[in-house]
Amino acid sequence: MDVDHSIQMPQGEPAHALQYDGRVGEIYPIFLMNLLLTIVTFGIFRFWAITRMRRYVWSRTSFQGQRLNYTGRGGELFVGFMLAGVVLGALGATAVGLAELLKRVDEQLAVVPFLVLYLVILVLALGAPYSAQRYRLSRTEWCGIRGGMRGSMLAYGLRSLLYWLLTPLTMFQLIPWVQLRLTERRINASSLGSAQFSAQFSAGRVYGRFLVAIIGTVLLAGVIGGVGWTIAGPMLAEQQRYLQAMHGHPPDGPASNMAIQLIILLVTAELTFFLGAAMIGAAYQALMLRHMADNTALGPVQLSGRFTALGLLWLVVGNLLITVFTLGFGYPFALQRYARYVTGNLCATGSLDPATLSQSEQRAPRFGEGMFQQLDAGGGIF
Amino acid sequence: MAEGAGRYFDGKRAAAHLVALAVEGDSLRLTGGGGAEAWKLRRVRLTDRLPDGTAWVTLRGSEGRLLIRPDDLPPDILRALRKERRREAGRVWLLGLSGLACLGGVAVVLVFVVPRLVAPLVPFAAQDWLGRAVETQMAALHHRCTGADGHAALQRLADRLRVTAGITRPVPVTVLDDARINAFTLPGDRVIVLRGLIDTAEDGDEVAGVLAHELGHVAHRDVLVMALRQAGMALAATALGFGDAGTLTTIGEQLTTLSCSRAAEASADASALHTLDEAGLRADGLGRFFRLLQARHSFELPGFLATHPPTADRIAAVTVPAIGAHAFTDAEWTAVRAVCQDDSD
Repeated sequence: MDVDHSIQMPQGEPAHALQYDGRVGEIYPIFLMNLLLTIVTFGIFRFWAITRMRRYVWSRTSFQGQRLNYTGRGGELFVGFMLAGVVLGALGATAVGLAELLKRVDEQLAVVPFLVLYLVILVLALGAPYSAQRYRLSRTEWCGIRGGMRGSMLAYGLRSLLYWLLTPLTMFQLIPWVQLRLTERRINASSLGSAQFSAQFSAGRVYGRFLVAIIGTVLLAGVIGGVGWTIAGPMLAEQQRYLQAMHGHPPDGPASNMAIQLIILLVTAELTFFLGAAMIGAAYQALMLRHMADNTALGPVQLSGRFTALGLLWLVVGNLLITVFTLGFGYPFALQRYARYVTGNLCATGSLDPATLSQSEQRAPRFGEGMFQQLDAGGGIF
Repeated sequence: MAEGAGRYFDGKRAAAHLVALAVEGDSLRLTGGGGAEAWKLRRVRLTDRLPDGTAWVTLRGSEGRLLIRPDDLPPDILRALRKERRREAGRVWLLGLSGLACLGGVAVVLVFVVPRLVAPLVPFAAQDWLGRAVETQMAALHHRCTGADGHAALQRLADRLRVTAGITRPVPVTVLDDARINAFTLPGDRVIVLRGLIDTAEDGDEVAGVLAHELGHVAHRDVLVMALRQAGMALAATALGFGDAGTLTTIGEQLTTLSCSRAAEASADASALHTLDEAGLRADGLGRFFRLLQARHSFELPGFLATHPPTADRIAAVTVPAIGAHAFTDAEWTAVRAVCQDDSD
């Protein structure tokens, strides 16, 4: 057959890794129809709703000039969800049964099966994002080549549990290391056809910012508290004197004015703190994202990130406000901003050669995301 | 036969091949430089159009993908693909609706059929365990009344009635110090009477009527059926992903507020009259008690009737002449009324 050369193969300078050309006007009909059908089916339609939305977003995202294709079906999510429900139900029933048996031996022993059950559920919940990622990759196609993921969800869940149990022992200083190691593991297990994703992160490179973020937040709280107390202290003392003079009669006039001033002071201090803390947090998160992107490659394609603290803050705070003030009806705008932000700040150098990129050898799961939908509150699309 | 063009991804390599398209019979024929493929139209699927005017065509069970430009295709090819798309949409609707119908069917079976079938199979030990657990839970909230004479009188009456009704196992009666006007049956053949009911009743025959009614529920296993029904609903709801998994405690709580169906209530009423009559006791107490409650203001309609208020039919059905002996002697009735007054000293 004749080979077609319309697939772009940029070389040299970093360019946007992905192009996104979705439009809010196109998302709204999907969103509203999904909402309506989800309501009239008592929520059952949500698996098909997620699928419809993903199909749209994937189809509006291109890599090397070729659009991604989402091939998942709502039924696969639905069956996965039901199967996970059966597994969880069976686990629960087993624990109840064992507890009843152990109760005859010793009343205290009856707790053991439930402790084990909680641990198992925790491992499943921590491993669920892994298998969910496997499903999504297996349903993501580029030029007819699908993604894949190797490795075991349970092993990943166990490892996550171990890592997260270690963090309190290190006074939480291990958090950046844990975040990077787990992300690295998920990325390194992923592939697109014969092209392997590879990531090598170094917690040492982000730890400084992490420490600064924690110390900065504490300092910020101290400074705001100190300044606030300097202003509020005399006012409180004044109020105290005034109340004593009133012998507990309801104060009005100067005292109630002062109460209002105190409330304004408190709200201002809280807002300043949250905004400041969010800035500090965003600076850390942006560095994490840049570090992850800069040290990830897909075969010969080296990724890089341009994520900045301000950009991230603008995205997150903006989306929060949009969602809250529209009671959720602004979701398509939030989605659009998210997709634009990610694709606008993720760059790539080098390209995949379609002539040599071959089909994935990873087996695609038949159903998907059951545990993730069961155990994770995330009904989101990503 | 008109020919169209498309870009074919074989699912082995990412590189695209230019192919010529034609409809031949029930197949879409893809021809390119070296090879040809025939895609059965009924296994073919066309996606929505992308912003650049292209659309994907996929073949079920194949990794091959075809990217076409619908506007540039000859009309006969496009018509063939669209027809498949419409058929596909029809299939999706059919599948969706039948899926919903199936779920509905399963729910109906779980809620209405399974309980009646399974109830006789539940071992008594399990029922007893459940009933005991619920009773312990309730006794933790409301003091168990310990008046020995009153309790003995109630239990004597219950024993007499249950033997008459053909119930072979003993039915323990417990009075709880709760002002609500209620009485109910628990799994494991236990009857709970709340103090409010005894306080409200004008004489012992009314209490006897209610007791006989509860024994009717015991004889018919109504509570177990209702509990299984409730569990079925919880199961159906949980399976569908909304509603909380019904823990044992919540099932226990619900047991106390279970409302039996109208048919079950009517049948328990009928048993009550029959049992009292057989035992040679006056059977008019239940009817008088219903009327007494009905005369009260509706907002204080007690639990005993709140879920299924006595309709005129129900009252009429239990209105019978006062023939027979009183259920309690005067001394017994006095003791029953005092069952919740602490007699430990």
